[in-house]
Amino acid sequence: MEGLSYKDVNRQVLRTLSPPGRFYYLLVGLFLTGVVYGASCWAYQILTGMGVAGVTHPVMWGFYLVNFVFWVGIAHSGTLISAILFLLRARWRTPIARSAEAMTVFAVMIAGLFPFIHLGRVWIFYWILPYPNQRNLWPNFQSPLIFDMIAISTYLTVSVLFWFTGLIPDLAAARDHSTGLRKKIYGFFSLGWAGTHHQWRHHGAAYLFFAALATPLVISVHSVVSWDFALSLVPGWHSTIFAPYFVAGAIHSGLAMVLTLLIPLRRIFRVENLITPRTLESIAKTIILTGLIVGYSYGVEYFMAWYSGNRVERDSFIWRAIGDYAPQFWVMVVCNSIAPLAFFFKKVRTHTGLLFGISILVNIGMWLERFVIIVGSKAHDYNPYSWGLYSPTWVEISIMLGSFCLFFFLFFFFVKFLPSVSITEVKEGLKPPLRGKEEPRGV
Amino acid sequence: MSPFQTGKEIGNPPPLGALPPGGVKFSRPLILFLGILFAVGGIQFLAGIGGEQARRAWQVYLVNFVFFTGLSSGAVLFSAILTLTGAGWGRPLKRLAEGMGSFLVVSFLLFWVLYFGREEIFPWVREPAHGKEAWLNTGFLFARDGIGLLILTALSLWILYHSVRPDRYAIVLPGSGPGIPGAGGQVEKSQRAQAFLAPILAMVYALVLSLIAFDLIMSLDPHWYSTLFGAYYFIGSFYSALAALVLIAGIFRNWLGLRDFIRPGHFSDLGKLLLGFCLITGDFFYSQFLVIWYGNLPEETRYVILRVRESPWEPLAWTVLIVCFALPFVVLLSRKLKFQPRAMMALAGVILTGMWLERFLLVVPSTWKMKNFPLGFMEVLITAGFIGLFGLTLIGFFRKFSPLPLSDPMFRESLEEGEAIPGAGMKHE
Amino acid sequence: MASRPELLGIFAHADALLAAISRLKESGGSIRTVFSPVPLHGLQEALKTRPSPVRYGTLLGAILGVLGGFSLAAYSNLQWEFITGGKPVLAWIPFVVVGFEFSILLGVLFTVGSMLIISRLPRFHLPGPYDPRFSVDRFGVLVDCREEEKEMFSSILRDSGAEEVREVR
Repeated sequence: MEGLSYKDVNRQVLRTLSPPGRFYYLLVGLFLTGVVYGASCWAYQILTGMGVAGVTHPVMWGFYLVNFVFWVGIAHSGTLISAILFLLRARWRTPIARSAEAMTVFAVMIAGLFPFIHLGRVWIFYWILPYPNQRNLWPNFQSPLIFDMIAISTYLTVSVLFWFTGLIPDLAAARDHSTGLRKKIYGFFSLGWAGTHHQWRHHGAAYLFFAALATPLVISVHSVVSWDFALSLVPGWHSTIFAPYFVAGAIHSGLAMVLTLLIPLRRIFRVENLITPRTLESIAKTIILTGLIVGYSYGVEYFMAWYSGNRVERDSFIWRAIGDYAPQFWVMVVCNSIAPLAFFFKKVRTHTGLLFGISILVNIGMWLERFVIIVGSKAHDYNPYSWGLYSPTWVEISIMLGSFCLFFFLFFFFVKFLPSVSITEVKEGLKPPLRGKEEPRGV
Repeated sequence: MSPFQTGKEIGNPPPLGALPPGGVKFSRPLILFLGILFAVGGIQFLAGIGGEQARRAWQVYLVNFVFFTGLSSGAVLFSAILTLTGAGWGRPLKRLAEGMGSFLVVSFLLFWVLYFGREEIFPWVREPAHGKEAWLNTGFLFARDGIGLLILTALSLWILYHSVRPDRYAIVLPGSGPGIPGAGGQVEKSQRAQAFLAPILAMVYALVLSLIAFDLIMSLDPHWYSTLFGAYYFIGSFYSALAALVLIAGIFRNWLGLRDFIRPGHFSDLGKLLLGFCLITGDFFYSQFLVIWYGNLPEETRYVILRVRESPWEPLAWTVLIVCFALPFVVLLSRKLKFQPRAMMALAGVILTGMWLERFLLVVPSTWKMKNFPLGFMEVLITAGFIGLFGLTLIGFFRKFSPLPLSDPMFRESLEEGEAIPGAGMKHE
Repeated sequence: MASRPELLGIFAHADALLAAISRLKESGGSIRTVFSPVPLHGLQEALKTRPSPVRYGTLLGAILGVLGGFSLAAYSNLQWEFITGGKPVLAWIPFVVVGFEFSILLGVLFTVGSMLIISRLPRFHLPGPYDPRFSVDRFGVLVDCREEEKEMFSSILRDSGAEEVREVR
């Protein structure tokens, strides 16, 4: 990133907004097809009933909840990168912050869909909201599911506003760069930003407070999601470590998704000089940390299951490792705690192919972790007569596929219409043009 | 009294060549005072364990042990984190943190003293806990904790060694005088060693301190368990370590000559970190509390109800909540206050007292079955003994070694950097 | 817009900009606006601005949110006073989550609101002197001046290194 001038940054990033080629349209069309397919399966489920999904006694929470937790987790690392690393003044965050925030927004949107999908009678979703009504009925504010509703909607609002606030100066740059209809649209969304020192002063203060507020929000949101499980009495769910365990796991899967998205993105858009190998390395090192925390949690849970002397708890954890879902369990352990250890070696974390491969493994592993915890605990709780298994139906798998397609569709949309690298923040990280020294040469 | 006679008050840091590689001179009265504290504490402890209220002496010894061990490990972790993240802001504080870590040697020795009080402290020594005998027995517990503490102490000393060793090359690095051949290479070697050891220390810290928490605190009530307990202990220890660092940094700044190197900006940065860890520790406390409260399972709630509902512990629980979490949170929100070293030192003292009381609240209700509140003269004196010992250890360390990381390349860079280039850098407040 | 003429100096270099600002202030010029593509380090100090009042909006929102969250939860539970799951009617411990989330929500909404209101955004027209290069790599100084000061300020701007100096009304 050294030796870049402000003009180069504008040019390089705004160039990504130019009209796309055929391959792009092909991929977008493919994703859109997936979305439409998933949506029609959902429509089928609404019309036919929840019986088309595989959830039944005793496992009443299946794929939909697994995906819900998975997508909320993905969202977290976006806020980690844009908010927490901002507060810690970590420089490596700058080129990836905007894409990470976008990833957060889209992931939260998709996560928010799944409780609706799981609800069955989607048209009465509004009953969960606190509004005055003639029967004076209110939601139960002691329930973790209500906490979820408040937390996820807050998270969605905050992420969108955070993302948008950061985008305003970049949208102004895009506005000044384009003509015609594009100029009008960018002009509208940039709110007439002119880069005056008054505006920068308030914008800077607001951005800092955003980051300061978003940080505890991130931790609280996934803690709230974990409490959906921990506040119950199901063995394998009722555990005090769930809140930090889930937050670390969320960041783990989110960072892996960041790598999965950014490694192809930087190649396709030729922004390898902005999203440098150093950046990718820093992400990899953070993944080691989160992987170790997740591994620690696995270990402590097993130890405490034995230490507690609680027969049901012990049996539940033994069954996890050797029972019907054992393959998922072991793949989870290997992908989440063992695979990231490879990043201890510099050769691995500087090799983009290996980075991409391990990030995919972590994504798979973290998805399976949610499956093992949610489905695996419910399948084998207190009463042996009630033990039973769960397997997903084609409807659930299709909707899950649709959700992944929706995520990539939205992300592809984003990278072509909005600057996916934060122009302003990258420029801030460079030396400003100085008369006293030599003019930095462009790339 | 300051060995760093720079002749300037505030403003330009002294040139690199003017930094002596050795330690600080401490005044005789101070050493004497700390020695007296230690002696008085030691005598009170020995008298206590021989007397009829032996349990009181042993439980407060355990409280102090877990408090100070956690604190000094956390201090070493701070230095390791500086190495891991390559952070530039906290460099002058690195050696101060490492100095606090030197107490780990002393605490390792103090650990073995617990063996003699095992019957008073651990209920499962007299009545083995059914089903847990394989884990909770004297031999295995002391062996595994001893080994864990040994590894933690050894690793910390190794890091301290590599931080301190290149100091003698510091005064002859380029830019400040004639060079010793290979000096740069020696510094480089120690930097790489520290970079290698730092992640290992972080892992060992989490594992060993969790083990200590499970074995020395959680087992005091053998029927209770909480998966978060280990993590709660080591996060709280790091929080205490940060507060102690503020206090020590302030002492060195005001009275031991580091005024030019430890600036109000450092206190502001430490203050932000302190606020962050206040919130994290509070969050861990709440996570544990909420899950136990909500599940309402008798085997889990027994521990909590004893501490927050029953006398004589209830007022202490509220005190801890306010002093450790509520008060620091509100105070640390103020931007101006974080820049004032004296105010920050006062707050740090308050936090340390609060965290000590928190450790007391974790340990003592499990061991003390009487109705009175066991916090009196005996406890104060024994704690004073620990404080005296801690102070003496610090003095011992800083007499020999410089309180500044002289050979740390990033520290030297931060001294050389004058005014930042106008316009460069990330958004600051 | 302004009855007095305004001079706009366009700079390509940050140090030239800061030098011009200090010299203009010394000569008694009142600087209306400084345009820049990035928040320059040192600019706010040079212009002696006070910390942004957005912080008060944030604080207000956070406090209202905490109070609002607890109140909403308490009020709704008091309507029927059900004992659910053995928990008391006014269960402050879980209500902490509600209060906390609302605090963040309102804090953020008030932050954005205050930022927009104080900056007077959205604007439907860009300020007259605005140059599209200000979002790329040029800085601008807009200074109020009387007719007689025009020459002096122009020369200050040019001497400091302005690429272009023009008058805007």
